[in-house]
Amino acid sequence: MDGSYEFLADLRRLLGVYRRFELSLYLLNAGIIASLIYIVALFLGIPAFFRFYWQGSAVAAVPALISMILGLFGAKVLGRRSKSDLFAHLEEGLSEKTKAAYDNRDSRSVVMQSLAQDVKKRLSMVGSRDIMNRRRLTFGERSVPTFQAKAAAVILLLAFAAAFSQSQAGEEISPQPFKSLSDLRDRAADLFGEEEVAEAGASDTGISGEIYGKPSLAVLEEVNLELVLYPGSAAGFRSKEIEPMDRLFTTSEAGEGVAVPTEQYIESLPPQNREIIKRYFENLATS
Amino acid sequence: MRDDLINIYKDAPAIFDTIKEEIGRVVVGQKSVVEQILVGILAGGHILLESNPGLGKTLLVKTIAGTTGLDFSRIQCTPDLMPADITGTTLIEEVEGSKVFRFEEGPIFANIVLADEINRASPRTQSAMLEAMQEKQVTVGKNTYRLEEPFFVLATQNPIEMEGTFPLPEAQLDRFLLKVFIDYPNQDEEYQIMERYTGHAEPRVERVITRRELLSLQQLTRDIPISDDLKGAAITAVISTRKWEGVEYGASPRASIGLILASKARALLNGRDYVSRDDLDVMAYPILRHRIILSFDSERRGITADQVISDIMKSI
Repeated sequence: MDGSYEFLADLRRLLGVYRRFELSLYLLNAGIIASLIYIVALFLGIPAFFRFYWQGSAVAAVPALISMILGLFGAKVLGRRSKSDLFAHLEEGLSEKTKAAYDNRDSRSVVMQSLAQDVKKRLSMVGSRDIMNRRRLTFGERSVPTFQAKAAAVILLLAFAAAFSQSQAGEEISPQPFKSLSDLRDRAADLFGEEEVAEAGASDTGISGEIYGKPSLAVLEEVNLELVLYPGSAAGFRSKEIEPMDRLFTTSEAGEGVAVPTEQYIESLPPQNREIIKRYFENLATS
Repeated sequence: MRDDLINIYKDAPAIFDTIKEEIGRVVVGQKSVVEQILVGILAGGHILLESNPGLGKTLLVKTIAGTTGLDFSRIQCTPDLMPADITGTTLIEEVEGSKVFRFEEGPIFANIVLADEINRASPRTQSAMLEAMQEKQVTVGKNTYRLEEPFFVLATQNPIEMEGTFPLPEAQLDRFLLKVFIDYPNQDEEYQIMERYTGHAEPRVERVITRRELLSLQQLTRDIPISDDLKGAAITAVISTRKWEGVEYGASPRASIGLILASKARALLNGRDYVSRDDLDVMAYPILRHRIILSFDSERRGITADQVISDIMKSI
């Protein structure tokens, strides 16, 4: 802003105010857009998904971070579309006058000097509040300063997002779709933790580690054993004592078994378990 | 000189008020027309006044000339008017026993020239004014004579539909800065006209501005600041006339210069030290209306140049 007219100093001051105002508006726009995006993400359960899998990690904050980036980008696009300059924020008569004076700041004519004095006088009375209140949003018949309206919108949206997030907190920790996965993980953790205990129990019942890969249910030495093979592990097993219960294939009392031919016994088994039990005894005989 | 300018700039609003008041003593109403003529004078341009007969065109020009201390001449254009009747002619004169050539200046050698009913003059005579209007000089034979500043041609014409008229060539029309329409007065104004001109004494005007003051005001007019945005808008408006649907030929770059100058003059006349968008919107009509030639189809549909200008200015 070259030139020696005094009004240029006032213009420089107002330009500083205007730039701060524009930056604030940009950030408010970004806040509104980011809040809206985050609220949509909350409805879709995206933040809950990230929190569940990456709890305590920085990755859990990714949805919020992406919302902010998109908000900043959106505000930039919005800013480009509604481009205005400082002169548009001055009242109409003063705006034209100041623009004419600024564009002719190199002139030293009598008229220009008179104009410069007048503009200087008028600009010195313009405060930052006038600039902020100049741009207005209209809602029906009501008109509200843009800055205040946008600030209020950001506060409301953030409050809504917080409230919505809070109301969904219980579901976020164990949302229904992830319930079964959660159980699976707990069970797997339990199995790892009880591995040693299970091994000790197994030796008591005379079952060796070689039972891995064998059928999952057996009655050995009058003890009901439920054999659970840990899914995905390369080796190991767990034996767990369970309460005796009626099974289709336990037709006699323990210890009072009646010898029957193998074929007859196998024929008496329920068809769906027949093959697996047959294989179990075959493997037991050859081990 | 600078002090003079400062003083005249300070006094300008009072000077304009006095001129308007003085003109108002003779001319009833027609405030917009008076304003446009004063704009033309401040901008140093020629003005074409068009109206039906009997609306006071000649009276208006004579009155405005009377308020200034400028030389005034009147040319009554007729079909048999010759170019030399306007520019002047070389006479052979006997001085001390020998014969010498002497140039006898025509009525064009004045500050304000009223070319009354210019469209009744033959095209040859009309074009004789071209050089004077544009170059502000007259060439007769091998000699060129400068015209004294300020120099304005205020021409009047009747609508070309009337019999016995020769339409002005486009090149000559372009040399007029403004084309001003004079409309009929309303009932109250007509009553005042009747009252004023049916008494014993007809109103007269007094000189209220000197030649030097007028030249200073013309200089101040050119100094009126205008923003770059408005300069751009003026150029866009003129360029739009060349591309606008229904326009056969648009305005020349001379129109852009004229629009800016006339807007500056209007700003000064209204006591503003800058050009506003309103100046541009108002002056676009008298500046552009005679520079736009509508297509046959537009004329057939009854579209006027003013309607086109209105659409153009709204689109900018």
